Amino acid sequence: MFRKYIRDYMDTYRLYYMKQLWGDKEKRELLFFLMFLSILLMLDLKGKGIIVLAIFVPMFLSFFSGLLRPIRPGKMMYLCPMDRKERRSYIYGDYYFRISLHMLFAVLGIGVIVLFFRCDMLSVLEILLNDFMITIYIMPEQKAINQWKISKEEQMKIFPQEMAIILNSIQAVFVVKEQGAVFSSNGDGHHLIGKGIILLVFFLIELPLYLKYRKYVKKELEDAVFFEGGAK
Amino acid sequence: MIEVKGVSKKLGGFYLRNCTFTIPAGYICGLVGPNGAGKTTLLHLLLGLYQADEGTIAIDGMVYSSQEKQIHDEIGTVLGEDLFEPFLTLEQNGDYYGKYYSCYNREQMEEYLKVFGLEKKRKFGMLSKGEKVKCLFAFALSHAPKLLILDEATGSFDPDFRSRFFEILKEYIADGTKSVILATHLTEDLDRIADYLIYLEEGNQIFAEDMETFRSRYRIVAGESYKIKLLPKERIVHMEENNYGAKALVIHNRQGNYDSALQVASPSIEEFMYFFSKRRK
Repeated sequence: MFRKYIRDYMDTYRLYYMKQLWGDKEKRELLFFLMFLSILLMLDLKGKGIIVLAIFVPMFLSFFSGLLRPIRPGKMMYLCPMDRKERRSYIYGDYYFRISLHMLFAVLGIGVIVLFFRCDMLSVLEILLNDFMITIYIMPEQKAINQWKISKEEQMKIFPQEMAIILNSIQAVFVVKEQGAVFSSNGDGHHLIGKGIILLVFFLIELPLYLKYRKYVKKELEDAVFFEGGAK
Repeated sequence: MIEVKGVSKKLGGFYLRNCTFTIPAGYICGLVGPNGAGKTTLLHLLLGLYQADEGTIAIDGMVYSSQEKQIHDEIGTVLGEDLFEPFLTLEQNGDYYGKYYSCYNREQMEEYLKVFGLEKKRKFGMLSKGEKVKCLFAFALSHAPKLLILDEATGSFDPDFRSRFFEILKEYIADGTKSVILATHLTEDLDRIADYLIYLEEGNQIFAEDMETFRSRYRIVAGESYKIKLLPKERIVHMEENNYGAKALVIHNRQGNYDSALQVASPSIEEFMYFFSKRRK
């Protein structure tokens, strides 16, 4: 069962979406931003490469999986003999497997940081929360390859992911700086309270976004059960 | 085998209206019409990808609302688009999708690939358009379907393979229990092979009957225009005049009643389509 999901997960990466992705102005800007951010961090955080990798690898895996593995299966899957219940279970199963796998990578990454470096639990929570936000990502309007278009309204739907990526990048800086004791939390109660407040603010921003996004995800998953999205 | 009753479907600005026909088992049905006529919409409805706004579709006595799985198990599909995963090999694609079909036969798929000159280890995305269609055709045949739905399949075949393709279709329907629906612009092939014809134009079903009815109902009449005009107006579908005479598609009746100076022949599907489309303009 697990092997089947792994195989399906690998088989349904649609790398040719990169081409369309590159053709989309807004997405290209986001990709440039992410590349720029990564290079900047790599240069700034030299010597702490493992921390950067432990945070960024799971994050980018989730992000690109969201972009390149649409939750809507290819047309052939709608032609294969399955009843609606089976197709629904296939779509939901694949989606939940994707979230579980990405979160496993995220937890492993965080585990490395917790075990070998200094990192407080608030940062761990924040990073995992952001990883979760990124991994539940569903690219809007992927009904067909040639329908790769993101309207302004749809831009808002992917805003939570973009925000989570930025927040995780900031957290990566915090975690790395902590290693140099710049923001040492070692016995510094004031710092922990300050960090707790920042985390609470982030959380209060992300929570309503997540709740709103959850409805959108559920609708997209239900629509994906039918080739003609939304038909019942 | 296929029973379509009063099926309508609205898709944006396009409206497929009131399609009604019955294709018996053992028939090859040609689905023709100009671009945007509604051929693909009709095929999508038959494949259960779209749901009809009105009307019913029954395939082998089954309906999509309750027997979608059983219907799909009986349909082999080749559409004019890449249905397989481009980064998987032909063999892997067969295994990947074949596991959903109750009668998928891996050896048969491999054999068809071999016959069609395709290497099973090649990636689907690396094939030419014609090779992709051949591969999808091989897969469609290898899960023993009762109905083959082929959309624009022949357009990218070389002449050699095209004749082989039609031979395979004839063999496929030979036992009288299976049917084929073939949507194509290459009507010459249909003239030779089709038993049933559906002609759509701007979402309207113009003709949907067997080829015998088609051949007995229409005539192409050529000669002097005034002699054609002597025929009852309601029998002339459309007439085209030039400096040397005229040519018309007319509704034939048993009495005939054509002037002996007129040349009268059964129309080809292409001529039929041409005159019908001219009539609307």
